[in-house]
Amino acid sequence: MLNRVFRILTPLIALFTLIMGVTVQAQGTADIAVLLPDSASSARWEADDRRFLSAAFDAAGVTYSIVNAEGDAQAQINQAEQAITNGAKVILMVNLDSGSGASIIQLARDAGVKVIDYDRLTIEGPGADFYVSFDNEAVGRIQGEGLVAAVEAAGLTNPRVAVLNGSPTDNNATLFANGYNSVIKPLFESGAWTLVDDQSVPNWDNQEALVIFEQMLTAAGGGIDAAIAANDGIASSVIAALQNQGLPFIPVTGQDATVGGIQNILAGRQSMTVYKAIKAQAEAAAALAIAIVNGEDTSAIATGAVNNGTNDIPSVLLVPVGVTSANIAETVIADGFRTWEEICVGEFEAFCPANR
Amino acid sequence: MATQTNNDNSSTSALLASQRQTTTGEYLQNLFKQLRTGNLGVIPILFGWVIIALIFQTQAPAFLTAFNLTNLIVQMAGVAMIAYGIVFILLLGEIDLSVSYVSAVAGVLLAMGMLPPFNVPWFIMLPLALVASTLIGLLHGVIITTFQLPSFVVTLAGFLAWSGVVLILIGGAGTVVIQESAITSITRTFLSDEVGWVVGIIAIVLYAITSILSNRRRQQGGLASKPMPIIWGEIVLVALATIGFVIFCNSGRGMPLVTVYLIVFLIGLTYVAQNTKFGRYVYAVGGNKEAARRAGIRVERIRVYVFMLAGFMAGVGGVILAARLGSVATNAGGGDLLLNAIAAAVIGGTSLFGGRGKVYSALLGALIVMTIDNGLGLIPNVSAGARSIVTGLVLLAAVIIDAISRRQQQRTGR
Repeated sequence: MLNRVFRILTPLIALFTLIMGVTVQAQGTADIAVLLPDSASSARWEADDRRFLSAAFDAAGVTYSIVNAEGDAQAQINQAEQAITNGAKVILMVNLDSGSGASIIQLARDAGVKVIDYDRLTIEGPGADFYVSFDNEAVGRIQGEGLVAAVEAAGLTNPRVAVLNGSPTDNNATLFANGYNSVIKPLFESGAWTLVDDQSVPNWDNQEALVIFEQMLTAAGGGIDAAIAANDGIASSVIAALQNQGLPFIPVTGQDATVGGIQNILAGRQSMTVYKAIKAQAEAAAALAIAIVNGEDTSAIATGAVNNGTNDIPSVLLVPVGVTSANIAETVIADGFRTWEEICVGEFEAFCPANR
Repeated sequence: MATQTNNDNSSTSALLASQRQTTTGEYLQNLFKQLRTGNLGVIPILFGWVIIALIFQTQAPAFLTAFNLTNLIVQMAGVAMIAYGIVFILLLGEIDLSVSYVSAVAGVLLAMGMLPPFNVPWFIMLPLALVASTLIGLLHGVIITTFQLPSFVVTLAGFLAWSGVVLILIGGAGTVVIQESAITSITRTFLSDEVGWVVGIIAIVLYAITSILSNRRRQQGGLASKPMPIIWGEIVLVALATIGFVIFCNSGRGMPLVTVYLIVFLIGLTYVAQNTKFGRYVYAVGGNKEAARRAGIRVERIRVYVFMLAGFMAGVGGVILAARLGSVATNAGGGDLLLNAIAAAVIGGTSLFGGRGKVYSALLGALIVMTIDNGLGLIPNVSAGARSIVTGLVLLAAVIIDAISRRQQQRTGR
């Protein structure tokens, strides 16, 4: 049996290695190597980060390579080694886990290459040279405050609240939870709000979130007045569960400013979402990397500091923005992150501003 | 199989015995003997479900309510549809790891095709999405048979590639809302009491007619057939179960519309598997590929058809999942969907090694898998870790029961 598995896997691995070899080979020498994590956990890496980073590097005229490890930490270490061999001066890395991230930092440091932790902090080992990210606890705080505002606007007293966290294996999900819990926990403790249930959604899976929230509703006999949903996908699960059971919409939070999320906010099905300007994050990281390559002073760029458990890492911390029906035009639309054309389709046309 | 418990290897006496009409008494004796020797059929699963249900009921009083159990049917529908296709794949002794993302491709195509710039009406887009998923199955089947590759590798490649297609199709939008109420009503419709009764009665009558007719045909063909009192007994049992089910559903919101779809596909695919040439060939190829080839079966063609069927059923499941969520997102088809669909077929009793299994195993397996999710969801503050552990243990228990029952059967010479 095992023999057969190997017989099947060996050519497959050989094929993948070959493809990977070809891809890495094709990059040539590059001053800046960008190591993206995967294309499954979020669409942003391939859809947004790659294009914004490329644009910034092209504008500055530096050589660079952008590779994606497709969820394989071992592959990412190989990509880092390849980048160092190809003469990289800076590695811009989104780690897959802190352990493999620390190995890459060690490899780079031995070769005199600077490492920027992009979006995810490596909490193992001495840490990277720089960190560029959104303040994820601030994301959570904005969600918590958004729910408080929505509950007040709905005129609810002593609301029964459900909490749907992100994936239990995602450190960012923990940070989001720290953020909103800092706002809503005191309300639960004072008795102003009642906690119905608090659950994590494995892999941020919307179908799983749908079942989890439906069962919360069933157990509570439909008695849930408001919900924290860690992102727009989970918020859409909450909305679908309410529709499936013929219940009215409730205040619910979101994150990522997806097209569906903005549409639901316009239609009054979702209270708010959190917009993290990926473009701003990518540009900040690119500016930092370019400054290092050119041997310029970075203290004006990396103004903050985050402790990774061992050292204070000089950081660029970007501030996320809460989006409600009141400020869609000034935020995601004004930035060009979303367009009215993609949002105002079908039934949502009716909720869009007439002059846009 | 009345004659096969007879351990006499003489083919002539077996042939003679098979042509003789079994009496009711003999049939019941044989049935009892089969049960004792481990050929338990659906009994372990149903018994297992009752135990799981009782455990949940003690923890969450809302579990055994009509509201929750009708909801459970809607929750399991998508996985069950995908698992129907997986049963045929497993019957061949093959595997299809791509079904979860193929289902997502169908859901995403449907959702996006109805929006600008395409604006295709739902009644055209729905068949198109299903055709697309069937063509994906065709593609996998053709690659597997043309290059004689293991289905494991080809569908693993498909798993990766189709997840990429989902990402590219949705692009930067993140989530796409399905606005068409004709689609979302697939999973949001509950039948009125009267319609529920009509559906129940039609199901009973259909079951009675097919079971009497197919038994008569077996009798005329000289195959082992069941005595008439047994047939009528089975019909009464099915009728009672159906009537009970309808009364139970009607005490809540009524029978979910997807029940009808689940039953239609169950009956249709069971007919295909048991009563058509194609179905018999699938069992034959899964039992022994070389023997099937020498018997003149066009093995490769059958394999391609089965991958097409799996693609089609994945599409049906994907449409149901998308309709239920009312949207599709970049992570559509991810999570535990693939695992749940394959586990459903296996827990239901379909062998991973080919040639052994029934279509209904997908439905029963999906019931078990989703009951765990459903029940654990009613208990406050169960951690995601505990959830995975319980699901894993139940899967293990199911295959252990299956393995023991198989060993019993081998020991008694079946």
